[in-house]
Amino acid sequence: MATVSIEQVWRRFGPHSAVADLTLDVRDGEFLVLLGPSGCGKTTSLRMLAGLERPTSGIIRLDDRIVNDVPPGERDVGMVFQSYALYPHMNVYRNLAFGPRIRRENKAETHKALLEVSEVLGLSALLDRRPSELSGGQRQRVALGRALLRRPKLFLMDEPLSNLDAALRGQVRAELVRLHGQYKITTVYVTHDQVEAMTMADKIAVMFAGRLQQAGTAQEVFDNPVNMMVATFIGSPPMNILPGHLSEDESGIRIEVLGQTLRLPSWASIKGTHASAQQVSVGIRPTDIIADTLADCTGPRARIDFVESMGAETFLTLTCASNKLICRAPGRLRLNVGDEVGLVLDVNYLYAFDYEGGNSIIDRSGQAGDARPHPTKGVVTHGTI
Amino acid sequence: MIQSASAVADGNAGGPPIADVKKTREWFVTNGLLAIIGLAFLAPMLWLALAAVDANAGWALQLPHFTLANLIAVTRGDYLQALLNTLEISLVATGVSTIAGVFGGYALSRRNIPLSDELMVGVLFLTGIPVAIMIVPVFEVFAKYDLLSLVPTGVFLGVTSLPFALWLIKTAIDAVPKELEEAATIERANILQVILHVTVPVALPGIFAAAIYSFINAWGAFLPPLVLISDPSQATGPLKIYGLIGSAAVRYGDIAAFSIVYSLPVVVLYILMSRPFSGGFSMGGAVKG
Repeated sequence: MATVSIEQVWRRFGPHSAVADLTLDVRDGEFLVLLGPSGCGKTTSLRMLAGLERPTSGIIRLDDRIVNDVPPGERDVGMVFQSYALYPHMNVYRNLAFGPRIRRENKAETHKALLEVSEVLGLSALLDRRPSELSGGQRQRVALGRALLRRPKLFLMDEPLSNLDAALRGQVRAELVRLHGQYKITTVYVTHDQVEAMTMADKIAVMFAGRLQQAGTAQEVFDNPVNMMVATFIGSPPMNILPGHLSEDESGIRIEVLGQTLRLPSWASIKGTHASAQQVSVGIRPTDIIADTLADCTGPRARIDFVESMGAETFLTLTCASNKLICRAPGRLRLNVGDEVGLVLDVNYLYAFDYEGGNSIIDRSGQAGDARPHPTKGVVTHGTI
Repeated sequence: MIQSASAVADGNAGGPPIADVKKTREWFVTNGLLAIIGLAFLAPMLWLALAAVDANAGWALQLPHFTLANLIAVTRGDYLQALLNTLEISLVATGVSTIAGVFGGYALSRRNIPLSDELMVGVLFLTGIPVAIMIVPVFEVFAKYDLLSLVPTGVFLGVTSLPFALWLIKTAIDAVPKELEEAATIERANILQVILHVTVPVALPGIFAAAIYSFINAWGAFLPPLVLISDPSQATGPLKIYGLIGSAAVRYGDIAAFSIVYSLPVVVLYILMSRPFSGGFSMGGAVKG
């Protein structure tokens, strides 16, 4: 059990900053996911927490103790490596017992704890196998068991699921969440997979180019991204970004996009420093657009370029007023390439980003929880001109 | 049109295949030459095998009057002592080059040592210097400090095989994934524990190859023991064989039998060594497989 506090930590490799000015807190028992594309500094951050890498500057605290100079073995952390890092010359039992043996812990107790952990992880039948005789998922569980057996204060995981196939990934994800619930060990988990982040995290920290962009719950990061990078990274298919114009008058905020002027709900306001009328990048998620085949649709019209049927839903790639965008339509709709559809944009989930910097312009702090039904054809009543 | 074309094809098919004749001749010439060369290599081996069990062995290749007396004689007394001496310097040499090779190879592989690449290339080139060039100064030093005996000779032989052993071991350690060592470090293993419990076992095939190389190198060494060992009772195997040739009456049977006994361990070690060399190193299961 531990809290982690990272204060203004930099990690430079020559002229290149792998991690720049990272400030982040992890609460006791929290499951924090560091999310970002490869090379964004998330693994370096994790390695600094483990003690495998030294921060160039800044302070890392574990339970209020500054650990910058504490070697990895003294930090009481358990780590699961992306490659699992199982010792190939030892069987599963000896892999698990390696740490206790090195630390000269009581053998009988180790044996008992080891059997317990291997029971929890379903490794009991595999104890005398070598890593080369195990499947990917089994190796992953051994690596997990090795870290668990330590009863660490802090659990560090570096893309532990990236070497598993898709079906297994979902299963292990659920298993990790269950284990976290059972042991309540503070966990920092690195991944580039937003699905892992969304499904497992108590808190997501999104990193780009060495910098922390946003930290918050999955829903916060999804619903209220601080900038265009976060907005387009999270969510699949990614958020559509369209050129638009934003203006404000006494009746509220208006956004012109796709040749249509939309009025934002009354909770919306413009963040402090931004000008009240300017060119912006308008963002809208594919799931917040409704493509309607009805002839009486008053919204912009678009032509279908490409249809991706996923069974339960269909993703349409559209051209609308010379802009490309993706939108979700219900499955089983008979839509063909070349058809025309009308679009309805959900103004509750319309985003505007600074045209140059990409920062979010609209203050959504007044937005209440979402009471609307799942957007389906013809249900949305707002969002008209 | 079609008919005439097929007629031409038939005409050719009737004759003898010219290419085949040429091939057959080539086959005979190539294999004949190889057989002659092979015989030149095989004859001494055959002589060794036959003379070793021949009661009145001579220099010529002949059918033996079968006896085991030669073989029994060369595993006793002076001969046995020579084998034990050879074993001693070989083990010392193996220990020196392997232990120094493991720690040196680890440091060169894992630590940021300035100019380490240049150092490794330098080491490789220096292996080209023949032992014969170094032996005189080494003799002077050994003589001055009263080191003309088995163990110091073993140390010297270990040092001569260290460069190659260092290369073999460093390459083997390079192939050990760093995460394995980091995982052990996180478990609170110190650097020595990491090396002994993780790096060395995983790099063992390469280290084993280096050890065998050093052993064979010392086992077969002739010049260094000849120069550096003064006491006849400390003579090693090659010196013993050399002594047999020099004596008034050459005892061919003993030479052959002793040569066979003396070369047996090397043959066994070569067989053992061929596996890690040909198979490469398997890291199966250590990382994503």
